[in-house]
Amino acid sequence: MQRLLIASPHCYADLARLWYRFVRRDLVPSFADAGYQVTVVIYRDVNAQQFREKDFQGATLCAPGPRARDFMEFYDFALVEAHDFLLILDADAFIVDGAWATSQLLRFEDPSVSAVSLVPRKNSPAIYAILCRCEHFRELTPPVFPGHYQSPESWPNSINLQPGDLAFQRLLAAGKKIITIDVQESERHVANFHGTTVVRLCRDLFADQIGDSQFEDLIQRERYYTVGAYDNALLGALYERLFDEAYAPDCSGTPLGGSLSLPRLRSILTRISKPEQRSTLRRWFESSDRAILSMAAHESIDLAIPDLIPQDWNAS
Amino acid sequence: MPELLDQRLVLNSGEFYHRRAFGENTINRGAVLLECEWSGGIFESGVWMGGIFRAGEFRGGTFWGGIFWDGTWVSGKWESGFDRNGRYHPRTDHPPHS
Repeated sequence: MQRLLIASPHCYADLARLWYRFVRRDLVPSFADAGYQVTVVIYRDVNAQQFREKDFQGATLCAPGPRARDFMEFYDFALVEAHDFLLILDADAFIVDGAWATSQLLRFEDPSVSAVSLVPRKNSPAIYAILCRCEHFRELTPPVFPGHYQSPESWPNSINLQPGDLAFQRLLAAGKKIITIDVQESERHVANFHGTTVVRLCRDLFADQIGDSQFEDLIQRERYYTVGAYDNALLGALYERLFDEAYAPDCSGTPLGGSLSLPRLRSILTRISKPEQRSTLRRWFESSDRAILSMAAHESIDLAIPDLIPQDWNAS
Repeated sequence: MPELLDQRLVLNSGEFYHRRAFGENTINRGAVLLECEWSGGIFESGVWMGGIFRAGEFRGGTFWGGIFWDGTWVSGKWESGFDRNGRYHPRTDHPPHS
């Protein structure tokens, strides 16, 4: 029997709980039905004490240690622990079709295939959700997965390779294949969100120091953060429906206070006036809306998208 | 706003800088620097997130991402970052990098 390890680094117990709900119900049985022995490892990069074991029954919880000092090293740790196949799945990536994911293993019948990227980044492979043939990745000189800077001396024009990118380059140079699922197919089977954890980490790390005004200016100015805050609002809506608990609360318990509360996010969006910024954000928001609705449909619930988009955006 | 102290630029807690460059006369005493360029000053406390630390002393605060090109690491919390070869260094693996 071949063995598959599903590995995912997390910072927040509530997001991990939602993530594991889908993995446990949809992914693990599907892979098992196909004849794989499946193990799930959740790496608690921070806030380890907030993860309740009862929410992660059947999974292995681990935390920073000498072999995996942070989430980036955890990827290589998982590669060592895995046997035949490794599925790295981001904390905010939800595969809603286990049968589809399992069917992707058939692509490894081609012995030159090293990986199947289930969620692409600009039509290229990405680590968000990637099935790896361990044997091929282990042939690379470690560390295998960390991000990397090419031409750091040229900063800010240096190239910041994301985790996994350098490994993909090395494998391709060695004549191996990396299959990238196209974005339309990916979106039909995977609900993927962006920047959700980074926004919460920034809130935790420095929002109190710089104050709400400057923090919110950053959210308003930078698309990556705006989308992260919006996506947290969507995940919060689903989480609260499923678990009847606040998502990403702050220390006072305010829902989404650990990201950006709905009134504050609504206020920020109201202040955005540039048509091109609105247009870009709308595209991202619509993609996220489709993602959360696919998750809700999978749960057989009607989910209302939080009313966040200002009325006058419709005119622009 | 930063204050000038004997020709030194002092960044204080509560301040936030994004994509700014700071020279050798700068002292950070608690500000948050996102994707900035640091060229020779003293980083006493605060948060460094992204950007390039070209030179100077890191005496305290949190280094979270970005390139540590050169300079002296005295103390502080290394969360993550890259060395001058572009290689990643995980949590606690602070400079000097071999």
